[in-house]
Amino acid sequence: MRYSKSYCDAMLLPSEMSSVTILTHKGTGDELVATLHKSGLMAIEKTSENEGVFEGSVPDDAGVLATYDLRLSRILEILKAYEPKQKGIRHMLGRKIEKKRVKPRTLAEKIAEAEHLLDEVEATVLDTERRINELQEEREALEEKKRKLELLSLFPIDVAWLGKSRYVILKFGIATDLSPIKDAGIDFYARPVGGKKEKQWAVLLISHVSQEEKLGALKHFEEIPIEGKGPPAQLLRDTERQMETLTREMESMKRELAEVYRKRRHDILSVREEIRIEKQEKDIYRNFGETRYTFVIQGWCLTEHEKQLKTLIEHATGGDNVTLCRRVPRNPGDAPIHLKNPRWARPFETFLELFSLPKYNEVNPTLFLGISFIIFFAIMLGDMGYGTVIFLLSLVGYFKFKESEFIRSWSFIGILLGLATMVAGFLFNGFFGDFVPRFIYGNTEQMLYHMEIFGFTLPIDALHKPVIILAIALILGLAHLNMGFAVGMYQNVKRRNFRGIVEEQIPWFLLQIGGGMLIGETLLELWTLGSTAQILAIVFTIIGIIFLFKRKGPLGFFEITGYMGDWLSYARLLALGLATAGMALAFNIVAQLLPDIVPYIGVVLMPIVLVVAHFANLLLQALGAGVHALRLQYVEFFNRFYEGGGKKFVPFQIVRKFTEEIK
Amino acid sequence: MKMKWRMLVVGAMLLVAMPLAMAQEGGEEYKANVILGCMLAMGIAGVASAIGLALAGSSAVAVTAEKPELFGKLLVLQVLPMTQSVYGLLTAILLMMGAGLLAGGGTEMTSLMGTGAIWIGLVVGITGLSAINQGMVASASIASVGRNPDVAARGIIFTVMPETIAIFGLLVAILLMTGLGLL
Repeated sequence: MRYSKSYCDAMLLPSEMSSVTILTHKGTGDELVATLHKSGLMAIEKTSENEGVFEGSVPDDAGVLATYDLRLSRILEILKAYEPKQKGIRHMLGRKIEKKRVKPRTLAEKIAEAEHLLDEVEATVLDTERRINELQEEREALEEKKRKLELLSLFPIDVAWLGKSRYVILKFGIATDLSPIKDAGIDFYARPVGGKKEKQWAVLLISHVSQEEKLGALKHFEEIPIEGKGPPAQLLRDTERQMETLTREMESMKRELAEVYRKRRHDILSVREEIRIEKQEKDIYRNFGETRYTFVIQGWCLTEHEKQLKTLIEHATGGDNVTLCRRVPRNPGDAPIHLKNPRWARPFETFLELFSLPKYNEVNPTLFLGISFIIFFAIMLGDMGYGTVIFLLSLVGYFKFKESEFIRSWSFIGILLGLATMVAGFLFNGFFGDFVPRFIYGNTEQMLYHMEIFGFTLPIDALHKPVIILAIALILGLAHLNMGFAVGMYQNVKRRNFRGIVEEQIPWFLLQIGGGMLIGETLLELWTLGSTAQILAIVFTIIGIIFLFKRKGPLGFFEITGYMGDWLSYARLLALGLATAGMALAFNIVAQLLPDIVPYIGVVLMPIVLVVAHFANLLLQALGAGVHALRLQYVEFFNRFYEGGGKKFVPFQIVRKFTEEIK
Repeated sequence: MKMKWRMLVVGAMLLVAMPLAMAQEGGEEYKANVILGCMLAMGIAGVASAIGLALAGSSAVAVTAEKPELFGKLLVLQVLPMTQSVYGLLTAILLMMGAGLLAGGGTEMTSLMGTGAIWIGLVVGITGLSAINQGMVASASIASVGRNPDVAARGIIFTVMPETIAIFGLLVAILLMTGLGLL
């Protein structure tokens, strides 16, 4: 019994935490930090400054490490820009990361390795990138020149003629209006170059040097200076050749950088990771309190790790420490939150974090959230075919992308959702809508199968008997809401808040039982109550209402209507389930009509339309089912007991993504 | 201005629908009322969804221009106001099935069923107008995601809220269909 109680607490409450305070001699600081970092047992918080205790000073190495981190990051950033674009689902889902096996080394060795790597790649990468930028600028200048020459090539002149000679001025440019030139009496040649909306002319002006002032004052004319010698067409060809040469040179350099990235990416990432781990170890000193001879380190650890942590500290400091661990009481307690969920429920922690983590004295609702999310999603999608597709795709994701924790955890959720949806589809007569009756049985009225269990006929025809599904939805809603009340009750028991139970949960239980009995008899005519039961129902209802009004005043009335609204909100299980079935049915009808509408080609089109339409329906309805299933948790379920607001327990630990330390 | 536009659409549909409904009498002709019900459900909800999608879509386009990597998240937000048209379509299909317009045969139609079908279509159509408001919330969520991509999931949850009204509308429609013997 004792075991089951503590097991229940461990599952339903955030893990028990202890506050940790370590006082150690400065001489053992580095060794202790390395040990804590490696063990990942403790979250280190900033120690508040007191008389004689100052903020810890960061070792000088931290600055050096930050510089190496920056230099390596810069190289990676530059190289990444030249990585060839890759396509395919595998690339979209993330490439496989092969961890580099590294031996434990000293800080000096790690810095030497970073320096060596930078010696090899940094100069090449920076020089090549600078050269690429220069070439890019040159190319842009040539492009500008090319545009000008294209305009000038409309006139059969030599570029060298442009400008001012002893007697004549020759000017080339663009005019938006020719009348000022005509009015000035200047000789000119013009070719239209503008589009339909904007009129423009390439203009060549010829005048005597005495008219120079007039030329300068011309309105709506912009001179385009061009330098060079020879016919514009010839210069244009030369410019294009130069541009081609530059482009080839640039492409070659880009390929060179892409090659460097391909060959050295993993080296750079792994060295940077090692540098960052060291930097993390130095930066943590900022969180310490420091006296003349000691460090004060404060933080949190899981209560179950207390002993292990003390042993490690003792070992790292050679006994030169004072370590205090105090279990944090849940009243309410400000400890960070660590959730201990069974493996299958862990992926659902993401949904909980999306809302808010529980407070230290609050129930961890992940288990309830996980179970009800799966059930609601399944009913809202409710199709065996769609369930099978989700199940198979998730199975592929789970086994094919083992290296990605993200894909694995979502695939695992997908497997559970797929299986549940298959069951729901089996119960509600759905396999890609009415695909089987329509295309295989040839009779749309026929069910997928026929079965009698305990007097219930299966499957339930969702489209023709929606009221049964509505009843199921409302019963599930009632169960979900009451599960919320029950969890709230357990929470109040744990907090020893017995008044809370009387005010927050009991009235609802009484009101539901009493009110339900009366509504069942009078409004729905489901049963006839005996006189005792009737009195009991009335008493329950009145007591429930009195308690509610006592706590909330006149607003208690809105509590009741709000609860009814929340309950009816579960009708969305029916609405979305029917929407899936209805859409699938519509697509099947369209596909069936195709061979008659489009002779010959229709037979080929039919399977294509079926696949595309059902896939689109699956995507849209799965999105709807997922979002609405979450909403039922956040709004209806959490409203009964949950506040949230806890901060996550983030231990001071080494996280390796690109390296693996070997002995 | 937007409200006027909405009222105009609904009003126009009602103006067309009512005289037609009144004109139908007896047996097979009651099915015309069912067709009218289908038109109202799909028509109003469809227009509302289109407006909602346009509101969200225009914001999504603007954000995508600056942050193309958010395309996936924004698409999810944009597509949400489409659900009301799915409810409209579902109501239309159920009405068609109930009146035997889809698979032949069907129930013996009565005057009440025919008239009821119009009001069923209307309740789904009018509550489907929530797609417009959903589009507004989606648009605001899209703008927020543009600033902070981490709020995408919360934005989706907020955007789903106005849809509850359409779900209640659909629920009333289904209950009415069952009560009238159309299902």
